[in-house]
Amino acid sequence: MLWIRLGIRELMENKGFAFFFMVNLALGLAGFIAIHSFGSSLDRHLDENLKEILTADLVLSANSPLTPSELALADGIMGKDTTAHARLVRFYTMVRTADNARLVMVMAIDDAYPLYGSFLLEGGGFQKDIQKNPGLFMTRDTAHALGIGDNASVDTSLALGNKHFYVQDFFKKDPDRSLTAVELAPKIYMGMGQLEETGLIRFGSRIRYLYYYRFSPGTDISKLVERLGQGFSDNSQGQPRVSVYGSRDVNNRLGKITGYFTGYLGLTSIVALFLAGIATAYLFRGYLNMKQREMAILMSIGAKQSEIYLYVSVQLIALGALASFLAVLLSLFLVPAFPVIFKGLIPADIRLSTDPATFVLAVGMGMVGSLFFCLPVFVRIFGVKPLHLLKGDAGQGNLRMAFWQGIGFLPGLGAFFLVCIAVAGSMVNGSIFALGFLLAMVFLAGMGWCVFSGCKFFFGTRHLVAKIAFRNLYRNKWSSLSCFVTIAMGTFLISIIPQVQKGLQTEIMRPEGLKIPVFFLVDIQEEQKKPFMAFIGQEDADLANISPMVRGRILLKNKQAFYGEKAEKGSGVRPRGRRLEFNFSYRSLLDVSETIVQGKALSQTPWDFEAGLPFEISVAKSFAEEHSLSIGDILGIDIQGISLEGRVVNIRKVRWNSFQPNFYLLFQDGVLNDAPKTYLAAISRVAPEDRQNLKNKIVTAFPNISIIDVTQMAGTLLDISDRLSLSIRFMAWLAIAAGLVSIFSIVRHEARKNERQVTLLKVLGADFDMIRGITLLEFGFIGFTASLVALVLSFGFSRAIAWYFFDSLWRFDLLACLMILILTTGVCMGTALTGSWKVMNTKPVTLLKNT
Amino acid sequence: MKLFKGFVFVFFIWFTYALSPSASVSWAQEGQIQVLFLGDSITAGLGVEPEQAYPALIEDMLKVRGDYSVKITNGSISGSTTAGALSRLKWFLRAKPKILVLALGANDGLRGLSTDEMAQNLDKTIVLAKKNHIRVVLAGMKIPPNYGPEYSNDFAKVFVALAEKYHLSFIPFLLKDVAGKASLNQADGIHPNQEGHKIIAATVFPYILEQL
Amino acid sequence: MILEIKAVCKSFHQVRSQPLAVLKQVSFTLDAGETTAIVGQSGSGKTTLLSLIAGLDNPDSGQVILEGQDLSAMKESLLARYRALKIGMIFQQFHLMPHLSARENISLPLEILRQDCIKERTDLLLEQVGLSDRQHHLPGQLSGGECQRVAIARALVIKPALLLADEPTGNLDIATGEKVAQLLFDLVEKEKKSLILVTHNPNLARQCQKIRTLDQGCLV
Repeated sequence: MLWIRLGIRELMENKGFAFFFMVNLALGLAGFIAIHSFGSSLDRHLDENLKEILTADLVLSANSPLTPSELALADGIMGKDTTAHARLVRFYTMVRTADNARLVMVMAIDDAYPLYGSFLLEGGGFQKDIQKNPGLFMTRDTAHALGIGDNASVDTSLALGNKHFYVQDFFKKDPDRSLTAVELAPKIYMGMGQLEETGLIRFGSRIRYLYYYRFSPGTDISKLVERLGQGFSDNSQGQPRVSVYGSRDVNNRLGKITGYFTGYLGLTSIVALFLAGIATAYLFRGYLNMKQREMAILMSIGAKQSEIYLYVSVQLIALGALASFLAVLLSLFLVPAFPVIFKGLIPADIRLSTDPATFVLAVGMGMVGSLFFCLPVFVRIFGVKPLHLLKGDAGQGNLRMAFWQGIGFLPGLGAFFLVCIAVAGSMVNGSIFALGFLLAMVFLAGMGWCVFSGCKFFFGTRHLVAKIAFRNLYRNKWSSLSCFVTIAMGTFLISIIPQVQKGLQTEIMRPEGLKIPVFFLVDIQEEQKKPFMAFIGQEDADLANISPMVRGRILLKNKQAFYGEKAEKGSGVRPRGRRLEFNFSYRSLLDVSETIVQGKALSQTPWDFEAGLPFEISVAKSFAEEHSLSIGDILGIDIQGISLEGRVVNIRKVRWNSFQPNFYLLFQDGVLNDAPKTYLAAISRVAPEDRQNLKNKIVTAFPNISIIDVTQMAGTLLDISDRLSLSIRFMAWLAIAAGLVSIFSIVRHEARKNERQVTLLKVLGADFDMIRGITLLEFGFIGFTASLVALVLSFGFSRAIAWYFFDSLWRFDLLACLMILILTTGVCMGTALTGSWKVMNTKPVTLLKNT
Repeated sequence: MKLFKGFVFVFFIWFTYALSPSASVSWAQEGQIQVLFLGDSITAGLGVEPEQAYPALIEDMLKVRGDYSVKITNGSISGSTTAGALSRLKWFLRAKPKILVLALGANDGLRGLSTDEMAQNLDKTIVLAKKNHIRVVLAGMKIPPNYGPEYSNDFAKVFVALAEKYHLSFIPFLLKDVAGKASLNQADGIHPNQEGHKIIAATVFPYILEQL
Repeated sequence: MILEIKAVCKSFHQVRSQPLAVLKQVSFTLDAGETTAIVGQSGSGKTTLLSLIAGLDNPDSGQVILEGQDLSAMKESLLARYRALKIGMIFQQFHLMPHLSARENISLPLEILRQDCIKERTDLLLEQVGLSDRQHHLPGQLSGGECQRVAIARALVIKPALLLADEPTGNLDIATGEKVAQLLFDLVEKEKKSLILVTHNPNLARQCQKIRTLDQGCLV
């Protein structure tokens, strides 16, 4: 108790320093909390968005109603976590009006639909209106297409099968954002209760039955999806007729992107954690070093080591607790203010909050962290005779002490590993990060040592300021080094993020010059191509990427069967993905969304059948990966009965959200030109009010062309990708800002240590210019070299991370690198300068004080 | 990126389902009788091995009977509609087929396309075949009942009318005893599985024999 | 007359009590070449007086005039250089730069003040304080006495008009202290420096020409 009391008392006596230390520590922790909160809020925001797209947490879908046993199986797995469920029956039908018949997609819904999201009805009616009455919800566009007027009334009769319906209300927005179904026809909603009497549900009808579920918050949906999938699979000998979707697999492209995004958030939070860890470790150790003398005195008057440990630990824990409390308080006010402060820089309707786990982690690091981080310092101090400490000379350690000091690092390292694994969410990834960062630290320390040793060559200079500054750096190698490594680690961590961010953002972001397609047209016949182009030329719309499409089979790869072994006979169905049939195309110029990542461009010279040489093939990267194709592979291809050989000459990367007709395989000009083919095209730049009209015109002029309305799909996907790209950029800035704050707090501490020297220099006659020069040079040099070395290292490291976690999505971000370099150097210089400015403007009377 | 599988493939898997010139693709040799199947994913055998698709099964059945003079070419393309039938037939004319099994229309129906348009497309194709002295076997299709009774009737009538007009050998319904039966179809509920193809082959076989 | 102290007052603010008046109307003068000891009990205001003379702190009222310049009226930035040129200081704690060798510590003020013949003057001072053979040692490797000798050399190397010493032997044992004090007085005499020495060691004080005693903030 005595020691605890003494420890607290000591803090109270040095309120000034305690406060200073606490603020530094709090800044480091607040950065961590901010990043973590923003990250988890974004993750939640994304989840909410995806749920709204799916309108549920989980969906079961089948082409006939689920049997009681299937429902029992589902209930058994989902258990009590289900809080609500809804149903939808979806199918295409021809709807008849007095003088027209059009294909529509009927969405028969129950009362509970949708579980997330809602209808925006013009008439302000209620959804339950359509359950008891034969009413329909549709858009005005649909009504126009069906040739019924603007008035939603009971009089307009629409026949769906054997039953007559009327328009109950028009919707501006419906909850269904489904990205899996193709909008070949407009949606019409009806009540599930009205379905039976239409007589459309009969033997042979092609209908999709969807079962939506909502769960209590915090339920592990992906696990449920997995278990349900497994359950249905087991139930049907591996050929499940029931599909299971969670909000994350609402769309396969989106799934990949959100996967990257989650990975990126994980990366930033692990970076934030390390940043905070490094800053706190540095500060704690700095504090302990300052207390060294005091500890020596206590030791010399007979205090036991455990008592001293208690005495100092109490102080550290008290300071840590106060600092984390301050940090929590700071972020409680700051984080919710983000949307206001950073309006336009983060997704608009995001709700930011900090989850308790983050607070716990921050407080834990602030309090318990000190014990781990300081252990090696304690070991060192306890291993030295008090006399040496009093003389301010810790002395050279012997081998035995080095050993114990090494042991002292172990608990910290252990904790570090555990936290890594916890944050990364997997043993392997966590270990990779931990090991990577340890290696980085060793490398940076080595580089720092070289840099400071190199300072020896600078202080021979005649330039006084440089001479003094570099001599200081060289002679204070060890203390400079710890500052260097800490700053370099900070810079290293924050500069990993922009590189990965740039790569991801380039991937996620909408391509520059992207024309968002409105319609996708399929099945344009060869002979229709010219008339169709002429037709669109007359309209106020852009026709993009009219692409020929030829269907064929890949039979051989390098003279071997394209699939090493055929699916087992008798299994009936070929396992998914074992398709042999593919769509081939050719184009003279690549689309803006495509880039060749390997190999050369396809020859522009038409292929000569007679020459007997293989033609050239361009393969999409994903396809090449999936089928292990590489440049030079020869593919045996069958097109409508003709066998041809082609050679892979390049691998092409295709942007996920280009919304343009893309193909796995593009052939050299001249191969497919005569083959029977159809064309695909995209139409963009059509004003919303003209869309229906254009659609009608196309249908009238080219009845066989199917028009797929992709506005909603493209809109939804682009909206999400815009949000994601905005978020990851902001996240990168946030990480840089947090890193700079950490660096600031470290330099502040370091500058404070420097005050005594500055005072002495002042007394010896150095004027402000000189002191400023020395300070700027010293700290600027540390900041600059540290961040330069760190940037170089992060260049390689971020690349490795991108390769391992993000499919090599990586871009060098020169701007961010320069900015980090300048800002880090600036923060170091500015902070140190403020410190020395303070000294310059106060009387150096402290030199006469006896402490 | 799998992502980009994107746009095109999402819906191609949906309704464009696959073509396939079946395993035995090569042009007819001297003295062989070329039978050309022009169809969509059903005839292409989407989701089953090429040799399990019904045109291939028919070739096997002929061989079992000792008839090796018949060469079957499967010129079916998944997702194809009647709109491309004419140009596809032109392509295959080089192979000089003697018999054409015309099994298109399902995709027109599933996409709710105009039945008049479909009739015209098939009509032109049949005319071209006739002009080239190709005997035509027309496979009738039906559209699932959810498309509504009127459309279903209009759709089915197209085939009957054409068969009568040109006195064609007419299979009333290609998917007879297969459509709608879970055990004979793949998980998607619309493409026949291996067993389904056996039944289709049995349905179509007599018509081929008749033409031979 | 090199230094004139005119009615200098200094008090310190204290938490929860009246300001503590440390110096009350202190006045005295110092002639060139004069050595004066200021003695008094702990808390009598010796160190405060010294800090005012050195310009390390400002008086509440009164003037400190060094060679005709009023230090208390000078701006801090100007003062720093002026003080460095005119005053050499020796601290009880030595206040050497721990990372600089003895030699570098001595030459540092010359470098800062951009003076000539740095090498020669440093050599001379090293010689004078008898540390020529230990000039490349760091303070941590030197004994207390040696450290204080480095500090004395550092104070003298700039040839100051006035030398101020705050308990120069306070951190040393008696024997060493005496040796260091001897060295200090020898050098002061040889260089004809003015010296103000603050101490409560009567033996040390006695070696000065004058002894002034501070008692509760007043010279007696």
